Amino acid sequence: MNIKNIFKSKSTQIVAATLFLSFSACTNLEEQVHDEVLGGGSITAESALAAAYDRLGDATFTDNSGMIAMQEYSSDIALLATRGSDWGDGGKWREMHEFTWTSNSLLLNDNWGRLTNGIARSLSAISVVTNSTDANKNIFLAEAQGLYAFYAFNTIDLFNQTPYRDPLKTPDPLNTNEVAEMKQAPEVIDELITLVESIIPNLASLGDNSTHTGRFTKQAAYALLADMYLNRAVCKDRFNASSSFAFTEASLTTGQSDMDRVIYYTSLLINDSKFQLAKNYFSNFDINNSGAPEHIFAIIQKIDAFRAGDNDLGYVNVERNQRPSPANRGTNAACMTTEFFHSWDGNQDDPRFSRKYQYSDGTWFMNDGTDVSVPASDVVAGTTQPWFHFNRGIIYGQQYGPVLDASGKFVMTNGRIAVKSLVIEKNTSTPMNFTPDLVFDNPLVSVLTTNQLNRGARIFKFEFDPAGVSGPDNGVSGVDIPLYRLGGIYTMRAEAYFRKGDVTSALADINMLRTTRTREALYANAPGKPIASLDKDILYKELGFELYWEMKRRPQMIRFGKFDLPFTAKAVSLPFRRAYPIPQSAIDVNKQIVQNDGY
Amino acid sequence: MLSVMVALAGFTTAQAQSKTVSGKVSDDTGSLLPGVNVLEKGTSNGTVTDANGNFRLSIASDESVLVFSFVGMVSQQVTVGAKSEIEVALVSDASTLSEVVVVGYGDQNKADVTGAVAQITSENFRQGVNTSADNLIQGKIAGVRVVNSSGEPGAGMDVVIRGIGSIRSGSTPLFVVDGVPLSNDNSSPVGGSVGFGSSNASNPLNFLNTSDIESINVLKDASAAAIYGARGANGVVIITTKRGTKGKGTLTFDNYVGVSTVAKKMNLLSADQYRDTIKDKNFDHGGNTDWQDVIFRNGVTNNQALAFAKQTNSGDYYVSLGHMDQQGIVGNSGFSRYSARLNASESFFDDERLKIGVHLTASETKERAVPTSDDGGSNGQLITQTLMANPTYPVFDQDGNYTNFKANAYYNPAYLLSIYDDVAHTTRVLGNIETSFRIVKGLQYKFNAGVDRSIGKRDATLYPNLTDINPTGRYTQINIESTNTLLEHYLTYNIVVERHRFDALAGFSYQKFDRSGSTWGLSGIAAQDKGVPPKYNPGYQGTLLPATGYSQANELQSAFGRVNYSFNDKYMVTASMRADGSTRFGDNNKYGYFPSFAAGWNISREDFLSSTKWISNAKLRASWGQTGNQDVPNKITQASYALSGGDGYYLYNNLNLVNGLTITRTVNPNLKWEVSTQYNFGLDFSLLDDRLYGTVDYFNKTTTDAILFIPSPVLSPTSNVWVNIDGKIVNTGVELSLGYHILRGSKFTWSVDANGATLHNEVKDLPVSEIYSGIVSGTGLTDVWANVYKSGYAVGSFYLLKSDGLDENGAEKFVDKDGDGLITNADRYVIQGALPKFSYGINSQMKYGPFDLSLSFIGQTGGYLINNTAVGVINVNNLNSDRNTSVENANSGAAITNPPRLSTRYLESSDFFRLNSARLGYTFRHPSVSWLDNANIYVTGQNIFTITNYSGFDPLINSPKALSGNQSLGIDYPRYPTARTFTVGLSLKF
Repeated sequence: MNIKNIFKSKSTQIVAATLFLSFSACTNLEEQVHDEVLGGGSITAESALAAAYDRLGDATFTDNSGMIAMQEYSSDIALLATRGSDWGDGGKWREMHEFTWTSNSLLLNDNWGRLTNGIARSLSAISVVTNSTDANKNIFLAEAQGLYAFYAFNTIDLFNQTPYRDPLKTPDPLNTNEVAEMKQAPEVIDELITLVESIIPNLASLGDNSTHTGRFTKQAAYALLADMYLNRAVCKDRFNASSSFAFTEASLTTGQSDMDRVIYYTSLLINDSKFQLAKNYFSNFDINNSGAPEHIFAIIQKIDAFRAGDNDLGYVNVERNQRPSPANRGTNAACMTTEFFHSWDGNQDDPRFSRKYQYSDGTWFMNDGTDVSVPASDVVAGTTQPWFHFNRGIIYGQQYGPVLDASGKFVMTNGRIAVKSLVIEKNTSTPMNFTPDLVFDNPLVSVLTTNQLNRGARIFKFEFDPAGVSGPDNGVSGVDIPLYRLGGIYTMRAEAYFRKGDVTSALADINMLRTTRTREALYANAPGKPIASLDKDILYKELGFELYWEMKRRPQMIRFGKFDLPFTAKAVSLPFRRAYPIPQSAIDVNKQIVQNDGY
Repeated sequence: MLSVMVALAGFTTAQAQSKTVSGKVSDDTGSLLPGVNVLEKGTSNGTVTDANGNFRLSIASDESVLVFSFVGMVSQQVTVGAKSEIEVALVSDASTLSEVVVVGYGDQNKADVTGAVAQITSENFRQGVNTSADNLIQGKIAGVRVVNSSGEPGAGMDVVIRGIGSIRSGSTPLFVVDGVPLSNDNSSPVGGSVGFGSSNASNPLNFLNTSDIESINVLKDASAAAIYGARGANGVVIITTKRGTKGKGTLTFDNYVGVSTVAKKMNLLSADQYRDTIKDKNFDHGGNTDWQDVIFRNGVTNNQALAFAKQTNSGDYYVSLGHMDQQGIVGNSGFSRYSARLNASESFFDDERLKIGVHLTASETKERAVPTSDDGGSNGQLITQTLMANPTYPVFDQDGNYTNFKANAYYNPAYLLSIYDDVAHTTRVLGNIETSFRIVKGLQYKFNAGVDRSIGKRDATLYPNLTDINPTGRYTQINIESTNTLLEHYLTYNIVVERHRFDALAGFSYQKFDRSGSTWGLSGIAAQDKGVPPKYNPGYQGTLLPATGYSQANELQSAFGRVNYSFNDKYMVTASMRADGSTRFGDNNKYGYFPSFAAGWNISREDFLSSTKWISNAKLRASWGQTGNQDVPNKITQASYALSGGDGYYLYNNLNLVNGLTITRTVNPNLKWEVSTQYNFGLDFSLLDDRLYGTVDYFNKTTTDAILFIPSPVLSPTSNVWVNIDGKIVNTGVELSLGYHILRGSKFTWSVDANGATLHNEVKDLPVSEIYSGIVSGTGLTDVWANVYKSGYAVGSFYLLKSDGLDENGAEKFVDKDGDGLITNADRYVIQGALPKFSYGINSQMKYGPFDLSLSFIGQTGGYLINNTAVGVINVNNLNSDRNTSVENANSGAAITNPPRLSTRYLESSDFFRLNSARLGYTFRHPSVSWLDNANIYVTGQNIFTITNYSGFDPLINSPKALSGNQSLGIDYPRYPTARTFTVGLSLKF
């Protein structure tokens, strides 16, 4: 058969046609995944619980855009003004302080997402732990439920409602085929209290079972319960026009009022020998504050390549020309309100107001123009960069510190870091004089022009951690962030005594905070001074002294009826602003959400 | 409808027959032509020539006129008279309607095409330095916008056909090279950020030597594109490379040298002007520097191309080698390419029964990049640093070292350039074999198998330096590898039965895309000029940084078919269908079905027009069809858990990190393609003896089931979810292209053509309130977004405060929309206009004896740009912070203390008119130099002048400023400025 005939033959054509058809459907289109392991082979109880904890630290309570913005920038303590070309950012910072936020505000959207993700991760952990055989199963389950309560409580504090799935439901509390129900604060607060009270027997006591202050232990539960009872009356009736909240209403425990329960839980902590008030108040916020004796529940931060902590709480008040090392700088963002600065008038010698730094050779950094130099012997961890230590606390007036030479190194004198008078980095003719009296060209618009970049006293409460994974880094930190600390527990008990009418006990707690703390050696380690009397306004002021820049202020303001009042760059506001709106983007995809009144 | 009835009436007017004529029809070479239509004029009486070109027909009388028509030939009319034998030789039709255009899986005579298809052949390509194929069609095709994303050599282009039909998935069309559909993914690695920007993605089409391209066909409507199914929604661009042509073999050598300069410098304050303007004398550093002159340079381009080609009796070949070396206009940047191509085909067995063709190209491209990405974070990038740099800083200090600006985010741009070294190498090979076997007459089996493989590596080094950006240096190596394999079988069948012509196509296609890559790096590397650079030996010095990598695959499996039917060359219908299965879709929607229908009516062949002398050709077209878009990431329908340190916690008191379990994706079985449904009505015409020709199309293209990554229902395990949303994006427009042969003499010819397209775009019924995009960059502009997708408005609408001028102190005022006395985000207006309402091109070709001159103009109107340079880089408040600004800003009366705030103050019209390219050539040809066919010496210019009020570098720009993957439109961030290029070239043909 010649070749022409082969091609002409019918059989060849049939074979060709068959071949053609046989190529059809050569794949079933199952997607091949090479670069990740799908499915649940690697799920463990501890990994699910770790993710639920991660959400606390993953910006939520550690970043300037998180609870600092929600609880401090919206308060009479701090604000992030637009500073020249910096921090305008479409108005997202200013609106938090000027009370012009809307359901489209970015920070509200971010934090709604973070907190509800925290709830979802907690539910996921509950689900995974329930189905696990981990030796710590009971403890982990209780912790996941505790975290659920913590996230949900913060959600109702901010938004007055929370998405809800039953954390006790088995087998799967995170059944995503069901639409999540929305529950309002008055209902949820009691459910959360009941839940947390029920899990206490299963929780570890701090230090047992390899736990540390970064875990939700029995002690963390006591603190959260105290907090929830302290705010229960607000949750029940957040918007009442006169801010008259029924703090002494009956609690969920027969025969006890909400305030009795606050006193009960705070006393458990105050009487617990694990915790002591620090003499050096700022040691609670140092780089090496892990396990600090005041810490009850904290976010553990470390500097590592995989999950570095966030330096924002130490960084955002620092001016750009304030350099902890030649390779570090501040960012000239947040500052303190005029009102809060002056609330310290007559109390500036309180150990909590500020603390000067003493170098190991005895040199004090005075920051008053008398400094010549400080030793260059401290270096940033993991580098050879000299480390300059700024003072702590509330910083104002003309600032001094190291400056760079042309090659980017600190200017030195006799082998030591020279201390010079500083100027504003972006406007070098403006001295770095932090003026406590904030003056805005338009009093209700917190915009500072480029020749006003120096304005506002600064909060250097948390230590600026200059280290990084590979060389100095402004962004990461090893400072643990306390969520509940003994000082704050005292303020809760004082407030509860006060609201019960027991002013003597309240004053005693306040004075305990004042007099236990001592000043630095430069001032002969002088303890703080007690006060003689207490009224509502003094108590409110004292809460600020103890807890400023710790993300507690907005709820304090609401409890004390201060939230609607005008202050720096903020006009009188209406009660509906005591809760934030639910972000529009969430309402768009969750038709069951009803927007809060007023928005 | 009425005209159809008139036409039908024409058929019925039969006449009595009284005479029989017979004859032969041949073409101009003498070959006999089967299938020629022979029609007695004014009647429906006619026949078709047989296989030997013979016909026989009874006619009414000697006065009868016979009309001979055949595709690709000029119709001829013969009065019968006394003759009974008639011999006719038809000549080829040189008019545009006789072109063969390339459509999916075949080609078609333009006269038969029922869809909206535009073709540009090499002689009409944009002239000058063109690194990639998409440059060649800029301004040449109505409804096809080719917009720069950056002026960098080899930079990516935005090719947008008929508007923006997607929010998330991009609008890049499908590119098909010699039958192989390409992936639109990058083939060379994108750089990582070094702290002041990163290097950009380069154009994935850079691997093709543009001088190898014969033609580019653009399938615009759904009828044409539906054969590409789930990838056709943004249109299809079919690139066909050259092959040998008839006659003796050709050897061509083309060599040109070009010089590029920055097309427009920003009008910044000079050092003296700056000194006069600033209030703060600390900002005078004593020098006198034009930083743009320091960073920008004249870039020289060299290009050599050698090709030889021939068509043999049974096959053809085309072989080429190319080299291009292009210096960028920003110091140190550049692009070079070595390429080779072999196209060959041969036929075997009786009557060329088996044909085998091979296309093979290999290229090596090298990009030397500078950090000019779309966002360098708060430090900006090289270009923003150049524009902001204080002109009173000298470049060097007294010791000859670079000056150090000594403040964070304020850098000497020349120093930044000196410490940065970034080179990407990409090797790409694309080859395919096409076999066609005639089973029986008219029935062909075709087989197409191809491989497209590329390997890219980028070595980016930032040397240890005196800035606060990675002061210990950083080296990053990024690797990328991709393989695209294609296997196609199809059958074609065509048959002519009298006046019925029938073409059918049925096939199967399988394509797989594999992609993998890795990134790793070092910190603490050796200083520049001390020790071994890490790209040569990364082990020499440094600390390893965490490595990342990925490896992904996706597959498409498809069945497709098409039927073309035409009756009497007058009435044509086309129907096609593709079933596309994709691994990217969810289990419940693995296969998408993409049908199309189209009809054409060659109205000029109707009796009532055939006698109309001034109409040579006229064809009406109508089509409907659906295409899809599957341009989404892989794996998004697969549930996934991840264990990562980033989501972990120090759970135990040893403080070791316990990796956290997070659900990164939930299973998504319903996810499917975006659907684009398109109507098209068109008219092709050729009038006045083909002197005037053109095309008009109206289209309505509606996207539904758009794929978005939106917030998931609250308390879902993931915070965002991929969904097909309800809602529509509607693009409508009219496209017109019109050409006129002004002169058609033997010595002097001149033709002009123009094309233009209107575009109206509207987003409808979005299920969410608004979707943001368009990141505006600069200090104080974090989380400021300029674009909004909102029902009732065009994609690429802006969401801005309205500027209300300046108050008496120079402070900015804004319109208080809600009247609450405060200027907040609630006062923003939606302002439409990132997409120009009308874009156009005008091309002129002139030949006078040995001289040729071609000019190509482009322009657009009705569009706007956010000038991110003005708001975020050279804001007037720079005068109060040791940085520079523009003369315009400095004289605007705005207070230098104003913070930057996005508003309509920075919204500018992007209208422009540009001489986009020009070429003047002289062709030498002389009988005494017999070894030389011809020599052509030419000069070209690109981007020669632009008339515009736009104050940025270039009004034809679209910086990629997507937010969360949602595409941005109409933002101009100063990436790499656009060049003006002139070349001188010599082309020899032997």
